[in-house]
Amino acid sequence: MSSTFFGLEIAMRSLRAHQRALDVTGHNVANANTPGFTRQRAVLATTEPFPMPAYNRPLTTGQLGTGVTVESILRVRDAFLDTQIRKESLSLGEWEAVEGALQQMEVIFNEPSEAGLSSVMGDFWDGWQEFSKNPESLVTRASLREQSVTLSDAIKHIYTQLDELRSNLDGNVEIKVDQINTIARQIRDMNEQIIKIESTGDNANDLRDKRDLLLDELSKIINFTAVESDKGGVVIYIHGKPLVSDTDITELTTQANPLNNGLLDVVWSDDLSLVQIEKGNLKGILNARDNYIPHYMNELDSLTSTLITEVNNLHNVGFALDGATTGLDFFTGTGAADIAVNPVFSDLTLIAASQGGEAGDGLNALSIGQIKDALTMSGNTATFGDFYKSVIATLGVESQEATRLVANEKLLVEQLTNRREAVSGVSLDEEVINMLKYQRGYEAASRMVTVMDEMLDRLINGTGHVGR
Amino acid sequence: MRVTNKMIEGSVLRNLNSSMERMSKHQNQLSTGKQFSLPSDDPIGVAQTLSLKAVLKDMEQYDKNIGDALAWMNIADSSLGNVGSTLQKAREVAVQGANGSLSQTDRDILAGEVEQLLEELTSAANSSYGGRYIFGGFRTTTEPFTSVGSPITAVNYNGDNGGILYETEKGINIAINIPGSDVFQGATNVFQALIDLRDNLLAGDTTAVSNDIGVIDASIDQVLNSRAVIGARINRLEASKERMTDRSLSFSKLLAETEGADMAEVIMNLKMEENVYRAALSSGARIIQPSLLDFVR
Repeated sequence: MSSTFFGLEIAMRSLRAHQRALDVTGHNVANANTPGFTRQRAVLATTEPFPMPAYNRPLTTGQLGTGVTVESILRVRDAFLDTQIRKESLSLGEWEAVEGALQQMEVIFNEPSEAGLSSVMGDFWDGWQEFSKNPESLVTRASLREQSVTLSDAIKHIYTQLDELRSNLDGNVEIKVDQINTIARQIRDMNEQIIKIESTGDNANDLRDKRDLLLDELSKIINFTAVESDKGGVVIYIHGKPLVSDTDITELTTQANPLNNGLLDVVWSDDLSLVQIEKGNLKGILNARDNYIPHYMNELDSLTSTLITEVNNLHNVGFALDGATTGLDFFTGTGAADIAVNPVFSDLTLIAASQGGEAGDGLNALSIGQIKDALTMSGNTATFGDFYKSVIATLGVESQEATRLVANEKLLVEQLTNRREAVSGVSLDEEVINMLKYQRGYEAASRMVTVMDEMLDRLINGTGHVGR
Repeated sequence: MRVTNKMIEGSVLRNLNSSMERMSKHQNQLSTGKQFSLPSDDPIGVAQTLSLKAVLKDMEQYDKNIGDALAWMNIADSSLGNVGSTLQKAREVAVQGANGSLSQTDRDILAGEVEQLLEELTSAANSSYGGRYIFGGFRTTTEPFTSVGSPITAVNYNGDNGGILYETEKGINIAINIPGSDVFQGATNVFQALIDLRDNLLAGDTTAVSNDIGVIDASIDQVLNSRAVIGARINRLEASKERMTDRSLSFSKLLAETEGADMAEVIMNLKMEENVYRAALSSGARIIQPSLLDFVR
């Protein structure tokens, strides 16, 4: 036989379970806009039915249900989507870094514009032409010198800015490494708490959400594989070496590499071995710093050094206005970093226009002016103009490609995030329905209490007083 | 698929953003009049723009060079014109002087006239342009012809035979000057012809004076030849200037087509994008607002 108050007990369980479920619904609604939050579900289940099978079981019709309980509170999440999202945001982060650097380089080169190098270089060649037509005049000499100073300054300016861009990126490497360490430390702390909580059999839903969010963030920066351990902690490997292992952590640090202009390498803090970075924002930064930017610095440098050599070779054999001075370099320096107009030309008459030494002879200046059309670059297959144009076109294509890849990856990540949101996101409509559902359940359970109450009232207070 | 509020909000925002981005691009094209502002907008277009601009800049310089060359040559041409008329006068004097019925006094007067013409000739041969002597070869800063003695007994050439070259088209250098030695002291020495004429007039040697007429004729031919050379070059330069103007016009057009934004198209695109943006705004506003909460109790 079941007890007289059995019905009350069932109703009480129902009240409790529905209240619990409403709490979960409330938690979901409250966190509808919390980043990384996964909707939770109260898993309702029947309690042990009555009676238990036994030879001495009471002789009633069985089994009789005993009500409801909240068996567990679960996160609704698809771990496979997490892996996919992390994989794509890895590429996204990498290309974003490259795109940023390339776009800045485009701004530095400032083409096509009147202030760009191609325009300044055009003025420089025109300066020689004007000079060749009027070599006796100090005016054309002065204007040639100023145009040459403008050119050498423009080249140096671009080169310095590229160099600064590179050092900025180097600074970013340090920031990113700090970020990785911070995230790793937070994940370690999460691990610790989750292991503690889940050893009691509960689900550490909210902490897991936070940890997943941290892993998402980490996945933008660097490639890793995350494996969950039996205890509920997560182990993060970077190329086989653990960054975080449950509650242990090996931090990353940076170290200047003298073989790479003193730029920073990312190394493990324990044995100072190089971290194998294959993808992610950090990889993109390193790639921009070590490949993209140096490439354009080298191109500019080779253009400049050829320019210096070609102009100097001709200038050396020419004669100054005095008809005697010869063998002077027009430019000093060896490349884009240090090109300058020879300071001796504060005496304008020393610029060598003539081939034979006569005042009206501008043939040497004309020859220098005509270097413009000579095939001097790329193994004597291109003019300076062609070469520079192809550098700019390459920069444009690379930047365009990076922008396209970023857009693609963004779209992919967005789609995947949408799919995750479809699984794990909080739908307010759905929660309102749940709210109504659990509210009704709660109401029905309390009605049950009333029914039981009235029933027992009848039995206790209304029976046994025959004829009264 | 299960759709949540956050997804809708996110996609509305994303669509508004990308619509905004496209609008700002069109707006940029509209305000700059340029199809692109960075190499990555259109790498090939930018490369083309760079070469077209370089070509146009070159042409501008060649055009300037031609202009300067023409100015120089026109001065040379008119100087040679003066030289020609001076020699013509000398010839008339010679014809007069060869007349045997003339008195010696008259011949002396004629000789004085020749002396004047000689000075005129020297000064024409020392013509300058912009402070530079045009008949001195490369030696543009020293007077190319100096006369010795008074009356003049000889005229010396101080210049050289340098040809001043201007680049008038890509790779084409044209000499803009003719050295004075070629003009005045070639096969015939023009100065000497006049000096001889004067001396012969003073000496009253009519036979020699008659012979001088031939020499002066040869001088006139020599100067004319030089003038013809200059004239031919002027024609050539004017032709190439005209060609340059045509080409630079078509290159400018090409440049405008390459880098210029097609205004009608851009305005159309902007208008279309504006419509899309409005539609996205109104549908977004409609879809974000309601939820089940608006309908239950």
